[in-house]
Amino acid sequence: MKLLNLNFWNVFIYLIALFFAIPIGLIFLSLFYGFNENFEHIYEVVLLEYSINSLILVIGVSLVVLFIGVITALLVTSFKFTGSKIFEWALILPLAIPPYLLAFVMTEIFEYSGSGNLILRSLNLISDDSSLPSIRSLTGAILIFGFALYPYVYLITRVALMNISKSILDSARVLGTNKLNTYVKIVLPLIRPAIFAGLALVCMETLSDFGAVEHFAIPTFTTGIFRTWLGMYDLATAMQLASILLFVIIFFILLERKQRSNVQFSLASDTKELEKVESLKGLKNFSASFFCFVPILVGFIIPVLEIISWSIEIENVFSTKFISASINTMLLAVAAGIITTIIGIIFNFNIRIYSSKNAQIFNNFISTGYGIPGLILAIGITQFLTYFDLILIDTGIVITGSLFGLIFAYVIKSYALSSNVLESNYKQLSKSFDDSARTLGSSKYILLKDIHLPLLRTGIFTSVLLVISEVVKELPATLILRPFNFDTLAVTVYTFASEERIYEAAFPSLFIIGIGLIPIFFISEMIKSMRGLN
Amino acid sequence: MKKPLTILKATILIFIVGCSPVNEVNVYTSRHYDVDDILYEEFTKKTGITVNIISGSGGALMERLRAEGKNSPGDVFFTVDAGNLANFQKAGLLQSIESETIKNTVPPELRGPNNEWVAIAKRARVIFYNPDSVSTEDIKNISYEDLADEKWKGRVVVRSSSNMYNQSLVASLISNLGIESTELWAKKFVNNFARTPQGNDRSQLMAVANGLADVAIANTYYIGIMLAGKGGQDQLDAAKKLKIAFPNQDNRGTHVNISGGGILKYSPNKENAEKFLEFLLSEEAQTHIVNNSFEYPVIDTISPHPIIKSFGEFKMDKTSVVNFGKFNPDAVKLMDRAGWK
Amino acid sequence: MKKNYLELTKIYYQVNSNTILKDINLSVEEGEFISVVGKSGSGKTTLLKVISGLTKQTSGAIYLDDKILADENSFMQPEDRNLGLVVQEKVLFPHLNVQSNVEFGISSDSEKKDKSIEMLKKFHIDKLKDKYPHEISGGESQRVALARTLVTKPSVLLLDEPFNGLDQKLKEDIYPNIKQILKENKMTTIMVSHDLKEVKSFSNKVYNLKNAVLRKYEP
Repeated sequence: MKLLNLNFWNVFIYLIALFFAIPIGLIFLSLFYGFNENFEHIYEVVLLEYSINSLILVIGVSLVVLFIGVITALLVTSFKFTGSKIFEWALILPLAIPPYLLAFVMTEIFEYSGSGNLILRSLNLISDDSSLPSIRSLTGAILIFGFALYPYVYLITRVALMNISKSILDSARVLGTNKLNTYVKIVLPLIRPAIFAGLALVCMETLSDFGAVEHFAIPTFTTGIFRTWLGMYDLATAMQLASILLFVIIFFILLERKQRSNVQFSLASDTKELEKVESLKGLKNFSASFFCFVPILVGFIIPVLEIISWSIEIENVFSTKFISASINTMLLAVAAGIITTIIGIIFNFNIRIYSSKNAQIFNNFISTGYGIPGLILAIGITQFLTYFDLILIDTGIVITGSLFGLIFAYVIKSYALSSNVLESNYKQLSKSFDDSARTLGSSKYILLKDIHLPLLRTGIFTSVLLVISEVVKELPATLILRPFNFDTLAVTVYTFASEERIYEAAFPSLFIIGIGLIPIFFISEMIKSMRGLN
Repeated sequence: MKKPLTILKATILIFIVGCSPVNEVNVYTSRHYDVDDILYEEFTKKTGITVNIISGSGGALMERLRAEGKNSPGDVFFTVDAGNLANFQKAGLLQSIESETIKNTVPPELRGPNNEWVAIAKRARVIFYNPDSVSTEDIKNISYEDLADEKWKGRVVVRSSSNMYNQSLVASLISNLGIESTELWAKKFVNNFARTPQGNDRSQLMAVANGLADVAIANTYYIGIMLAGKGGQDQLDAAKKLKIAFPNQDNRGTHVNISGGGILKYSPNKENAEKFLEFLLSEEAQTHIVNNSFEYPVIDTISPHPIIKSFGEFKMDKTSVVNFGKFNPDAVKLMDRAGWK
Repeated sequence: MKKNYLELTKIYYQVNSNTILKDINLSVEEGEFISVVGKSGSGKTTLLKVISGLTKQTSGAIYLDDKILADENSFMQPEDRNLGLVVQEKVLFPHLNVQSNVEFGISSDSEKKDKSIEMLKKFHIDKLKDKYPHEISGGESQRVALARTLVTKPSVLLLDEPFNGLDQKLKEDIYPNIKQILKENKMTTIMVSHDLKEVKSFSNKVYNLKNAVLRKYEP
């Protein structure tokens, strides 16, 4: 009985863990169904292409984000130059624009009659007949993902750099190594785990994307999965494809986790910021500023300006479509935010009170949801719900096609975010409060309700907000799982883009970006507080 | 003595079953045309039957119907493309339509093999071209097969093979020419693409108007939408630059596909479902369809929209649309092998 | 012979391979005030946590009057033991004012207000009732904490270096007041501390916790 230790809290946790595991389990289970002719066809004809494209994407994007992310992080952390204080947080801005949206916007700019060509023509840089090369290619995709996702690497590298012990650097300097050597021999190895963690994240995001690669007509696993299911009506084969992709994703998840725990190791206890030794002047100053400015320009400023230019031409600002999509989106987002936060609270509470190893393991397990591509989640959940409905068939209740599946997907995807926030908030809550409350007679329920919840207010609020921002941006799972007649902002943008009418999606796009700025605000606050009170 | 008992029974029945049943029909649709809303309204006005809509992609609707099983409240399945209808029919989700009215209105080549579904509108998949860059010689009597010719290299655009319209076109080619010939054709055809398939039908038309390509394959109704200004000024200007060529006029005729509907297997309101389909085939409904989604009517007494009509009469391929569904799996694989992305 | 009110029998507490409490045997009579001294880290806090049930002992038993608090077969949750614990730091709930803090452990809604004010008066801090923990001094906080615990009428009061960090003068000011209140309530008390002098000013019954073992204190 010690093993099971059944009570409300534990049962709840086991159930949640089970729920989370089932969709993924079903995907892997499909490998045992037997491969039908559709799969064989895919295997023979297109699987290699999917794999090669995915590989090229991953490698290409990694190179781009390494180049942009690491160098900007180093620049901003160790030098003072024009605008460096602004670049510190501004370099994260592209995170507000989901990759597919950047892809749609850039496509429009590079269109024959798009603003890119119009401007170049008006400046007489190109003739009226010619136009910029089409961005809808593998190279274009690599660049798009690069500019959209480099902030992950930038951020993680920057934080790692900020945490490098001053004493290590001082020792290095005393030993006479020059600046470059310090960086190469000491700093880089120390931040390497952080860089890899960031890279793993970028690769997962790249492989998970559906909107951008579909728009660019690049056959990858995600487009193949989508097409097999929705085009060929073959859920089983789609799941088999999904499991192949899932193996790769799991590899990245494990890689990221391992690297992340290595980062903890290499952080020293005295966390003072790397001294800003040099103020750059002249050409160096300009180069640094320029190098930092370009990613922000391409990844945020230009897209936003472009979208704003569309919005000016639109007559009907508050079209019914926009309003209903906004309401739908916010409803979903808030619901998902609340549910995820509740689950996060229950898990973290359980871990805190019972110090249960099981709860911790399950929590870690569930937290891997962030890496699972939305598309794959959607497919697993669809299958799960179908089975679920079969069980419920005599009650007349049908869950397939309701909001349940979609919220389920959102919760799985954003759980890690919520749990991390709550966990760090909980850590700041002294256990003596628990001790006092319990000896004063509070049950665990009262402890949670009257002591923890009020004191976790900030964390709860942050958690809900962060989940909201994730949900608003999500596309692939939403496309598949949304109930009928239920469009979100992301879906609206995607639909318009598919019909080559993306400019009609100006306001939904701005809304998405606006909400996307929320986490950026929090991140920049966090960085400011990490800088300490210098 | 029997009367009070009957009244008692009726009262009890009402309490068990619920209040007076709503007169309704539940339509599961994957069409996304604005005209449909008009049709639903008109139907309700005319018959007093409430129309409940559940819309989504074909695959999603199929999954939902499978999950609902015999408890499904679905009455009508409404979609575009015979291929989609065939998929539902193959999955056993549709029942045979018995209405004589319907059978008499629509010719057999536009109905399911056992009347599982029926066409309510037609569209042709034609060649749009830029008369400034395509000679009359080249375009005269052009056929789909001709587009495999080397002279079209780098001049052709068409949307992705994942789209059902293309799959049905290829299925139709398979049913007429056989798999081998069609595959040979497809490989050469793909070689002539000006760009990797991207975007939808409309974007192919824009590509031709912008000089990116010289010919595009797309459905007829798009030109109606664009020329009517429904897509904005850019699209209107683009559409004005384009002309239509109806392929295969000197043999079997231009590939024609359908919008159609069927009655779902476990329909609880079968009578209303039939009424709904019959309504869609009425002159009134056909007029709405013709004027708003720019499709071709299925009944003779109604003419297509003037814009569409202005492109002229043409010989329609009489290949039974049933074949589109029959050869769909082959078509998809063939297109993959030919590299049609 | 007075009955043994609180009894610890062969209490062991081990974590990983460290033995923090070894064969602890302790008998406390009703109304007694006993102290346990020991260096920092010697396990004093753990001892109190084991008694209160916040930490589960590895083996051994704890009895209170005629109840079994914990033994091989049963374990009563801390919230059910009716023991009071006053910790060293972070003692008051920051989001509640003084009065609400003191009322926290009282279950009956109707009596809450009166009882809390009454207790605050005894400690001469009733004028602080609307203040928040961050607005009052260390000494005041500890008194509020004591009030909060005493108002629930615990069977045994466990004090974990509650006066640590307060300056000497302050301590000398408030000790008599506290001693008197405890005596009035006939409160069975166990106090742990590293300060022998402080401990002696409360009671003569002193134990020493050293190397995980509890012995009567010998100077």
